[in-house]
Amino acid sequence: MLLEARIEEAGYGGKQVLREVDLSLAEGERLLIVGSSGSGKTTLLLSVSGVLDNLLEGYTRGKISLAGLNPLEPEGFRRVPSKAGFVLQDPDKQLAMPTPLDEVMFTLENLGWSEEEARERALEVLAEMGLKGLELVPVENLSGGQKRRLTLAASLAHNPVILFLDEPTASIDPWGLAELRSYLRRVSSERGVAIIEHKARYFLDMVDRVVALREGRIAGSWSPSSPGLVEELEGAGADAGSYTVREPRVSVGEVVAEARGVGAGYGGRVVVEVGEVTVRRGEVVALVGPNGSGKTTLLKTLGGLLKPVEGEVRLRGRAFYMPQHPDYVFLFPTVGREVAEVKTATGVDLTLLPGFGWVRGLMDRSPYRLSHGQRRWLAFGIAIAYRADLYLLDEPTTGMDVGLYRTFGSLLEDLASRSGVLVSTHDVRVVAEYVDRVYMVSSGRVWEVDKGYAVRLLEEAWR
Amino acid sequence: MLSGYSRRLGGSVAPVSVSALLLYSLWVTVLAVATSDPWKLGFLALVTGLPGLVLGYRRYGVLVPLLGLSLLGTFLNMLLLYNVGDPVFSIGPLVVREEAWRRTVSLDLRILSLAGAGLLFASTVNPRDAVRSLEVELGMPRGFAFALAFALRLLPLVYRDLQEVMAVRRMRGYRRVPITPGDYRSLFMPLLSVTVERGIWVGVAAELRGFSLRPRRRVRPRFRRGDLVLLVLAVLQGLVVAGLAGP
Repeated sequence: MLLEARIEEAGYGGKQVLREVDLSLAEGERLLIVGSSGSGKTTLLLSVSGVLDNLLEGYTRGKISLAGLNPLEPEGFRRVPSKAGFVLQDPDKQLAMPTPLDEVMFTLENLGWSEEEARERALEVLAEMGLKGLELVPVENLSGGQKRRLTLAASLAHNPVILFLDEPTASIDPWGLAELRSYLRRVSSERGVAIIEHKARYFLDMVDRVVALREGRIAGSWSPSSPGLVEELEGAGADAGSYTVREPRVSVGEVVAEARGVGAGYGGRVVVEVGEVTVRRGEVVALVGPNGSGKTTLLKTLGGLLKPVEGEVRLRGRAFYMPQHPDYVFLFPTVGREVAEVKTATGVDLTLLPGFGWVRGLMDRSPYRLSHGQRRWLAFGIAIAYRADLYLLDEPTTGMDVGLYRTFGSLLEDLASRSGVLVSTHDVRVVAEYVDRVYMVSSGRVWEVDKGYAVRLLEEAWR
Repeated sequence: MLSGYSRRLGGSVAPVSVSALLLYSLWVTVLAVATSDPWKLGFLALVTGLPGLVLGYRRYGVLVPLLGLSLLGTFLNMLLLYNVGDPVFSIGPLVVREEAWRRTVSLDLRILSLAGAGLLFASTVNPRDAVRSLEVELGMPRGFAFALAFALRLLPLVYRDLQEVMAVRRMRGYRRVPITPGDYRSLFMPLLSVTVERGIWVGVAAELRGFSLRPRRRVRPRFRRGDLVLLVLAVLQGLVVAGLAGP
């Protein structure tokens, strides 16, 4: 066995997160670990890798054997990287070097390779991962899919016997996901692979076993071909595949934003040419397209945050842009100050909004110390309070589990009942279930596509 | 060019060593902190600050708005706290007096010298080369060398964060250009929060990629031709600040 973990208990400080978790992974096996936000998926990865005990202020009680090493002991933990590769959730929180070549060489030099050997191997593995020609390109200029492949290259360059991936689908588009799946198939035949993911549907066809975590315990273990698996997994908070394509809203109001013949971009350079984009009050409109195609640039241009390079945007009323990362939305040191300032600016008491009662108990807390779900939720609350005529949401469902996604959906319905909403998304569920019209952004152009076509496109792209 | 960035896939040797550049930047930093004489600070800003800003602009032009904010913040603070003495000039009804102006000039020149020294290092050194050189040539603890090297990678990310925060500030009806200490705090708090979180996870990722297994090697620093130029400039600035030469 490459991994044998018998965790009696694990957590941070005095807070227990995992309890009685037994997990194993054999050579050549692909394991999918699913669960809702807060179920303990990432804590499990941190525990079995030894990070929880050796780097964070956490603890693990139990026994773990990872490729014959005990990662709970400092010496075993130090040697874990020579046996295992890790791909963490967000590439921007993993990539430490300025170019792909440097990034891969960094791993190899850490593990004792000479500079010449490391360069040679790095070039080889970058080519294997489809990054040939991009070796010296600044990391910032890579697309989401390319960054993800780079994290994979940097984790695999030294040929580890076991590979862990933590939410590898976060922040990549369906096309990037297709590439990731293809590379994973290629590299996983000779090693053990554990994928931690709440979007189970993207990997069910390529794993040997699925384990679900619920409230820090193993809720079940199945073969991917088990009957009723989708229902079981959705019961555990994972997105296992089902969604419905809803008919567009029939009744919509006046146009709140309109761009015709506009060139959206930065510093005089047009990134996206807009023939025509309109958003009406009472509808949810999606922008779909690959990472780096200019969706965020277009959102900001429509919201008046970027001046169009060419043409004119007509915005009727007030716009509110919601960035992907909720922390950008907070401007004050405590939740209480945020609530007070929002009330002063808008007259809305956040604590009285439906679904925001929990805020009252955290008024002295820094907003940056809330859980990820709470931060995202508070940021939406602030956006709602501003009662904008147009909401511009940038990848709002990234990292959301099914439960949070459903709550977000009801909030989106509420926003659309009185405002226009333009949402940039890769999430096929959002397009199918909440969106009325879809614009495709690609190759520097934007055009309207049929909603059914967009759903099929997003669905087929990743397979 | 000085930089490791200019190297090709096969690698090449830069004319200035990373260690010499770091020591030079640290030396100018010490000098800029040690003196408050505007003329001496002006000399540091001229010799190191401006070249650093020019060299750094291409890669870190993104820092210019931040530098601009710092200079503006300095001026406003000095106006608030030290606006006494003879009038120097006026902006509409606002009279700027000698003490506020002198302190603004000194502090701004110091900021320019520090930023220039930092950018000189940041823009000409590749982070991976920096980790290796600082550790191998100067014997610096690898954790410190990595933190310094990663800071170079963070700059473009921080600029991206800054743009997002500025966008939200505008959506929420706050000033785009911060003026009061509260404005500055509300601008920097989210930046700090996101950066700290990113730093923690990059540290974890580096450990999971064997950073603590990194072999300890020591080699004698190799003296390169460009290092001599840095040495001359360092001595010259030291003499000026010590009052043994120049203004």
